[in-house]
Amino acid sequence: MPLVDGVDMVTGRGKYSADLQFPDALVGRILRSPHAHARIVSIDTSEALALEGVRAVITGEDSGVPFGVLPIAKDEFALAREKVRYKGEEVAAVAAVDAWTAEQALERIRVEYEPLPAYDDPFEAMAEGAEQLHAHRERNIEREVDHEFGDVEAGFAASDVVLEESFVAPEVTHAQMEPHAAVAQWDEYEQRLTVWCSTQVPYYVHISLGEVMELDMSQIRVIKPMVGGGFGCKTEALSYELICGLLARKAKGTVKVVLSREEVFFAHRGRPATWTRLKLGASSDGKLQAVEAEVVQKGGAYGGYGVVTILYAGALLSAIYDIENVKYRAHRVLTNTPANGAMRGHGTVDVRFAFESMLDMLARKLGMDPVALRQRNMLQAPCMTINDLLVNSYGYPECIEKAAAASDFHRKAGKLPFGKGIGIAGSHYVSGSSKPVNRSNMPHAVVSLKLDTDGGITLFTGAAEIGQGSSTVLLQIAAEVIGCHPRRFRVVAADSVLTPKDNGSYSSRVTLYVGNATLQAAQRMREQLFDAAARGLNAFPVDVELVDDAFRLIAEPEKSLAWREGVELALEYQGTLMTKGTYSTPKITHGGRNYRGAGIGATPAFSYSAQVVEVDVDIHTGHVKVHHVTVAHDCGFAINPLAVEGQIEGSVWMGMAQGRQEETHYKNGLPQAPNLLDYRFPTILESPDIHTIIVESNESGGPFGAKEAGEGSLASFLPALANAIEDAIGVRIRDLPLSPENVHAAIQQARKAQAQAAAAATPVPGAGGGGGT
Amino acid sequence: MTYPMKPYRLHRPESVEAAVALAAEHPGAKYLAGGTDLVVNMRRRIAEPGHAIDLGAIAELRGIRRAGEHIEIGAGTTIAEIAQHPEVCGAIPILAEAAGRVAGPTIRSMATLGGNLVLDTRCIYYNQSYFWRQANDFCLKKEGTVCHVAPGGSFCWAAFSADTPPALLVLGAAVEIVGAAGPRTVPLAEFYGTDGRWSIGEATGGRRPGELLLRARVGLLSGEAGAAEGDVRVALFDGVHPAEESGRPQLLAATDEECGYAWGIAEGRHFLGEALLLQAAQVLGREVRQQAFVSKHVEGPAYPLWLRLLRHELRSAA
Repeated sequence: MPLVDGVDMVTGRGKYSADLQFPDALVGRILRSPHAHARIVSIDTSEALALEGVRAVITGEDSGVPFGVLPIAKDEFALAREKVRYKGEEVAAVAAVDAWTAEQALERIRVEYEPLPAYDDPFEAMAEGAEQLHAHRERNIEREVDHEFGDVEAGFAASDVVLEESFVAPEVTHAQMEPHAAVAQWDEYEQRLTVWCSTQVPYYVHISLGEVMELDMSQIRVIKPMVGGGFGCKTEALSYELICGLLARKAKGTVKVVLSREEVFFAHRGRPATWTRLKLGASSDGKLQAVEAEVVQKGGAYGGYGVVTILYAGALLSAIYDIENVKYRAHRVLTNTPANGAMRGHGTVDVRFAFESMLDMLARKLGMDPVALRQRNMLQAPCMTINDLLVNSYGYPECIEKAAAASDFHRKAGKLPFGKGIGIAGSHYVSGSSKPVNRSNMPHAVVSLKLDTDGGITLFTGAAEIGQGSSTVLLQIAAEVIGCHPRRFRVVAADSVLTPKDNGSYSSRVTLYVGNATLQAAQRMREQLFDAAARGLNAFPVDVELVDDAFRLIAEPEKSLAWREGVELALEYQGTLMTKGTYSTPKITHGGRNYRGAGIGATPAFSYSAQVVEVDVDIHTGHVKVHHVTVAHDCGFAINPLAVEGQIEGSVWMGMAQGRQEETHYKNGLPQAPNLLDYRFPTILESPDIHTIIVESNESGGPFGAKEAGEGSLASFLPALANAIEDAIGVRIRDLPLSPENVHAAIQQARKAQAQAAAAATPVPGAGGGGGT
Repeated sequence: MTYPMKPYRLHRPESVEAAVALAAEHPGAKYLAGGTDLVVNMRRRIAEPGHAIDLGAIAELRGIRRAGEHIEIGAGTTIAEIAQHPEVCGAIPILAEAAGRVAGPTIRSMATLGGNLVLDTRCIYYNQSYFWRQANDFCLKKEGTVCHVAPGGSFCWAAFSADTPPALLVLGAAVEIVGAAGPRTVPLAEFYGTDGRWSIGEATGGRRPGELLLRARVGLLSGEAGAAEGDVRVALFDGVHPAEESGRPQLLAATDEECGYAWGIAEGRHFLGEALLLQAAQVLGREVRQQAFVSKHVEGPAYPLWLRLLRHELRSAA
C-alpha cells in the first residue's frame, strides 16, 4: 500500500510549515553570534526598536528558563544569556513587517562581546586549564562513562589473538530536505499560543514552550504540519521554535520563522565526530572473548541528547554478538561548535564502523572467513545480554546467511581481480527506547479511534508523520484488525488539541509502540462493531466475519449486514463510538541492572541488518564506485513492505553518504560547507543497485510481529564498504569518509610502508649502521 | 534560500540601447537575465545593486542563427535551448554537450549563455551568507582585506566554474559587447582575467563597467579535423567536469595560456609527440595541484580525477 500522504508529497499539494500563509504574519529573524566563545557585555536594541515596521525585539533577557531535551542537561536558553558558545548561536531576534526590515533591525542591534578562548578540538577542550564553556562542566566533559561487564582482563588473557586499532569518523549532518520552520500565533485576549512547526517531537516542543515562555501547557497548542524529513535533527525543541513563540507574544500577533539552509547547519544536532579505540580478543576458533572500547565524541556547545549518544555508543557494543566481557570508557566533550544530537542510527554508527571493520581484520588474522567469524559469535535468543538488554527476536543469523547467499559472497570474496572488492558487515538498532526521555508512568503511546454515522473511522495519534510513513502503518494496523477497507480511515496526527500525547518519531519507536496502541484501540472497536453486527444477525460475535465491508455469518455468508447497517447498530443508544488503546514497554525490557546509564539501549526489540557492498576501486585516483549493495534487514514483520524497502534503501543511502563523502568541517569556528551545493552527498547518479531482503523474525512484542525498519541498516554500510575496499586493494582504511582523497592518501601511505619494509628487509651493502635523518 | 534581498529598482528596457543607457545612468547597476547566479548572490548580499536591468523584454538578445561560417548565439538564449538546438548539436556538438551539463534541468531552462559567460567566480569564503562572511572577517573579494585561501597575498583565488566557456574557448569563440562607447568584439580568451575579481569588474580581464554582452560568435568545425577535435574536446571537458561526488566543476584553464596547455595535451595526440605532451601535462598538473591544495575540503577529489584524465590522455598518445 502506498503512503497515505504520498500524493501530497510528490505533487507539492501538501503544506509544510513554511507553506502556511497568514495574512498578518510578521517575519521573524535571528541575530547570531559572530564569536565562537565570548562573554556578552551588553546588548542595545534601542535603534532596532526605533526602526519603522519593527514590532518586537527579544534577547536573552526575555526568557531566563533553560531548556534541554534531557532533564539532566537543560543548559540552553532560547537566546544566549551572559555567554555565546559557538559561531551562529542565537543572540537576539526581531519580528518585523517584512524580511528586509527585520534584517535591517538586526544590523541595528549593538552587541558588545568579550572574546574567550574557543575550541573546535575536543582534546584541547578537555585539557587541563582550558576555558570552560559551562560553569557546571569541568574540563568541558559533558559525560564520562566507565562501564565494565564481565571481566575484560580475563577475557583478553583467554584470547589467542588480541587486536587493537583506532578509528576516526568526522561530524556529519542530516541534510533533510525541509529546513526548520515555525509559525507562532499569540492570542493576546485569550492569552493562548498556537505553534505550527516542523518537528519530530511536538510533545517535547510543547513542554519546552511551556517552560521557556512560563505558560501553562494548556495555554499552548502545538500542531505539526507535513514534515520534510528529520533524521534526528528535529527530535528536540530547538531555539528557533521558542524564539518564534516569544516573538509572537511580544509582538502580540503572528510570527513566522523560516531558517535558511545555513541556519540549519547552526541548529545542527548532527552525528558527532567520534574517535574510537577498540580492542578485540578472540580465541583461535573465532569466539570473541572480550571487547574494550574507548570513545571520544565532540559534542558541540550544548548537551542536547549528548549523554544519550555517548551511552548508546557503549550499550550497543552488545546485543548483536555474544560477548561476555565488555568494557567501555568514553567522554562526551563540549566544544565551541554547533551542538550535536541524534541522527539516524543514534550513537551506534561510528562505533559499529570500527567494530565491524575490526571483525574483518580479526578474520584475516585468524585466517577465517568473515561470515563464519560472525556466525561463530551469534547470540542464543531470547536472552539477556551482559549489560542487561533483552534480545527477544533475533533474525541476525538469517540476515547474514541471506545477504551472503544473495550476493554470492563466498564465490567473490578474496577472489575478485585487483581493484574489485566485496565486503560484509552487520548492525542492529533499537525499536524505541524502553524508558522515555522524560521519566513518567504514563503509557508510551495512546491512540484513539472514532467511528461516527458517516461510517468513517478517524485515527487520532500524536505520532509525528515525518515522511517515514507512520500514519500509513498505523492506518494499516487499524484496518487490518477491524477488517474494513483502509479507505474508511482518516488519520489526524500530531495536534495537541485533538490527538493524544505521544513522545514523537525518534529511535524508531512508532511502529512498535504506537502500532501496539493502535492495535488495542482497533481491537476494542472491532469488538463493539462485531457485537452490534452479531446482534443484528442474531448470532454470536465469533460467528461473524467482515468481508468486503459487509458483516456476515461465517457459516451462512448469505446472511449479512452492510457496513452502514453494522455501524448504525453499533452507534445505537450511545452515538459516536470512541475507543482508546495504550502501550507501555514491558518491565523486562527496561534494562534492570542498577548502573548509571542502564536505561540507554534498552528496547522492546532489536532489529538486525547484514549488508554486502561491492566496489570498484581506482587505485590511481582513490575513487570508489559502489556498484552493488545487498542488504538483509530483520524488521520482525513488514506491515508495509514497500515502506520498509524504502526505509532500508534510505538507510543504505545515508550510510553511503557518510561512508564515502560527508564531513562537516569547521575552520575558524564556521562550517565550511553550510549549503547543499558544497556539502556533498550522493545523488541518484551515484546510486548503486540495491537488493533488499526483508527478514521476518516475528517479534512477539510487536504489532503483527513488527519492529524497527528505518535506521538499523545504516551502520552496516560503512564497515561493509571499508571491508570491500580492503578486499579490492589490500588497504585497510580506518578514517571516514572513504573519499577519493582519503583512499588515495591511504594507498600512498601503504605504498610507502611497503617500500620501507622492503628496504628494511634488503641488506644494504656497505651500510655501517646508523645514518637516518 | 530565505535571506531577504536588499530592495532595488527593477528596470525592464525593450531595446539594447535603452538597457545600455540605463546602465550608464546608474553606475553599479546589474543586468538580470535568468537570475540563477545573480539572484542567489543578491540574497547572500555578495551582489547589492541598487538597480537591476531585466533583459527579458529584449528580443534581439535571444536566438541562435547561422551566419556564414559562424554560429551566433544571443546572450539571452537559455542554456537549455543551446543544449537541444539542432544547429549547435550538428555543427558544434561540444557546446551542446557543455550546455547539457550545466546544473540541472530547471536551472538550464532559466540560465542564459550570457549569464554563464560572466558567471561570478566562486570561493568557499565568498559564496556564503552575509552573517557567515562577517563571522569570518569577510575576504579580499568583498568587504575584507585578507584572502583566506592564501593569507598574505593580494591575489583573489575565487575560481570560475561556468561550464560553457571551456567549450567556447577551445572553439575560439568571440563575444560581441556593447557599451556606452559603442560595440566591440573581443576574443573570449581575452575576456577573462586570472584574478578572481575579474568577474566583478575588478583587477584583470576584458570586462568594462556597464557593458552588455550581446552574443557569442563561434566558428564552425569542419571535416575530419572537426571530428578529431570534437573527441579531444570531449576529453578536455570531462576534465573540466569532474563528475559525480567530486565537488564543483572547475575551469582550471581560465586564461588563454592555460587553456593552451590543455589544448596542447589534446592536440598532442596528433602532432606534439610524447615529450612535449608530458611537459604540458606537468604544467597542467601543477595548476591542478594548486587548485586542489587551495580548496582541499571542498573539491579535493577533483585532483586525482584530473590526473586520471591526464593519464588517459598520455596513454592514448603513447
